[in-house]
Amino acid sequence: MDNLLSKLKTAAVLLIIGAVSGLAIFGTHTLTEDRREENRRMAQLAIYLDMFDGAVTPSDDDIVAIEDSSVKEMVTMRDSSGNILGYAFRGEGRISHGDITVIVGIDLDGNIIDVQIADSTQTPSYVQALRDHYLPRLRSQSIVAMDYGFTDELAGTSASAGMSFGNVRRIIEDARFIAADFLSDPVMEAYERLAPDVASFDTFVVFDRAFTEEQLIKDDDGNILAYAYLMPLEFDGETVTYVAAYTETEFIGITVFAFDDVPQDAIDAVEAFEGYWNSDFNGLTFDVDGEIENTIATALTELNTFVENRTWINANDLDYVETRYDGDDVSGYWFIGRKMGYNGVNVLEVLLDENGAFDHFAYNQSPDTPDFRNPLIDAFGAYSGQTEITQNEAEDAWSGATFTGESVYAIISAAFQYFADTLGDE
Amino acid sequence: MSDVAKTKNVKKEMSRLANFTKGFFKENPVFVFLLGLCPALAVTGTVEASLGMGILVIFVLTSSNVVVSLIRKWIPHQIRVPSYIVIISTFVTIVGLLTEAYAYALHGELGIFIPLIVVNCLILGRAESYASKNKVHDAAIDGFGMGLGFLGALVVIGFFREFLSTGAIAYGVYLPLAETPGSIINIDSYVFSMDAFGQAPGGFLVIGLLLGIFNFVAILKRNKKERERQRMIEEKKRQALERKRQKAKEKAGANA
Repeated sequence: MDNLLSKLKTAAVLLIIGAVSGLAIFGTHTLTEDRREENRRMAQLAIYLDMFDGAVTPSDDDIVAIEDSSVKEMVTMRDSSGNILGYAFRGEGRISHGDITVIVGIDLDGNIIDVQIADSTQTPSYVQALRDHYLPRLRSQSIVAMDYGFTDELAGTSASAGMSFGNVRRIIEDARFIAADFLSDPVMEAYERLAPDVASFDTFVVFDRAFTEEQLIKDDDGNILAYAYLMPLEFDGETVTYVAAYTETEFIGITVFAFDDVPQDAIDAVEAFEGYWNSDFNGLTFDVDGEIENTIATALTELNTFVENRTWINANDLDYVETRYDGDDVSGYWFIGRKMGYNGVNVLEVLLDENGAFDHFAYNQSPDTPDFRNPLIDAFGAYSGQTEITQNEAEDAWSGATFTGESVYAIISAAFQYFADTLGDE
Repeated sequence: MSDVAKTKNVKKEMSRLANFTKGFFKENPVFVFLLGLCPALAVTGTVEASLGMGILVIFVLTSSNVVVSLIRKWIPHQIRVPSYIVIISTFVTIVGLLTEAYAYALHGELGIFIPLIVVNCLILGRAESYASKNKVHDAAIDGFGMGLGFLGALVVIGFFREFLSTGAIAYGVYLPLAETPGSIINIDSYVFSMDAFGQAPGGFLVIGLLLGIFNFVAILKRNKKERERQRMIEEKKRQALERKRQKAKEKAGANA
């Protein structure tokens, strides 16, 4: 009985301490809530005003709340005469080691004025690394052609710093899309010509060919409308980016990112391809006249050949496989797959030879820590010529890089499996 | 009041004064006990940030000491540490909210290190070793004194770090010390622009150097005390010998 009473007393003491603590915190929270909110607003306002020279405090009408996005607020910044100077976006991100509030300023020409971290509870050294070394390089970049560079240069090249950066990048990306509705955006306009219902686009695969990037063009509900391929071509020292779009069966068409500095004849050149729009891509050849038109046709033919030789898989972590030829003979199979690594999704290229033996793999896109992921390229290179890799055999390859290594192993295994099930009999 | 009672009161006052001041040098949490080194390294880049952190720690330490002392007899022995942690974390949360409301710039500067006050060994250590065994006013004096010692240590570290990294000691940046920010010292010289002192390595260097100086002074004091003690022993020995000789002389005189 005494024992029971003693335990009850212990529980009662803890309960009372907890209750009083809770009440004290709740009371302080409630009493200071308005003032804290006001402080946050003032700090954000100071950043807005600091970003836009000559801006005045925005009115309530200029502040729009945004839902279903990492961007929570868009503020139209005006000068004292009411002229619009640009737009400020306040976004919020959360990861396992804290929250972050980021403000992105975009001018009327679609250039990033500045990106600032307004508030953060994330690991200070990572956030400081972003502030000092990473965010300054985003200034003055055009929102239609952002170059984020590599997070590898961040302190410690660690995944955690990459996660903090991931928050910032997500917010900038969302701000770009929202800003695109208000600003003249040659990229969005080009995509709208190809797929009128486009609402967003994401990088899917990158290439080192005449076409450099494959993008998924999506509608409001996230459904894929088309696959777009960027083709940067050089004319008289100017790089002009053409974009061609395909469905899984058709060539939709080709257009151009018509930035101000793009020569008119480079823009007009795409008119020569209008006759080919919405046709079956199999066996498609482009017969056009003119120097620019022929340069475009050469790149487009290379792209069309890739599309013809590509087979969609969309299963077992594999997206598709491109059958490669040496003359009329198959010389190999180039797989694209994606699998979660340590810090996000790794997009991998796996090349098998014509007999299904492993040749090599490469990272198409990877957010994982470079010090972990890069040694795996050589480690897995040791299995070149093998038609099978067992996990035990390859374990040493990912010692210390378990998640990254397992994602590589999974994609290579899936490629072997696909070859055995589908390609080996062909 | 009798003389005995007066003497007792004076002794009590002396004891309280010693209790209050012990954290300044003799039992300084940072330089003697090496407690609370995380904030001492992380937020002492400037004097003002150090001052801010010190004030927050004084508030939490004094308040938690008072509450722990108040309820010390009701807390069952086996749950005393969790209870102390709940009490400390309550005050830390409150101080975090108050800082965000009334010293927003300081809140931004200290960031994650405000909630981390919960795990400052100094605070739990004083609750466990002092507040839980002493009366409320003594616990309050202990908490306030130790907090001041902690603040002093942070400010000294912050002073050297800020001065060596910027050549200036700024005020009014994080705390409402002036209407517009300014600086009390401002030496524009490349000698005082050693960025490393404003960063973590500088924190280690400065704390290491100050610890070395603190220990050097302590050793000098100890040696001086030891010499004094030896001198007194020698003096007592000499006096005893003198008395012995005197007695022997007196004895010899008497015998003659």
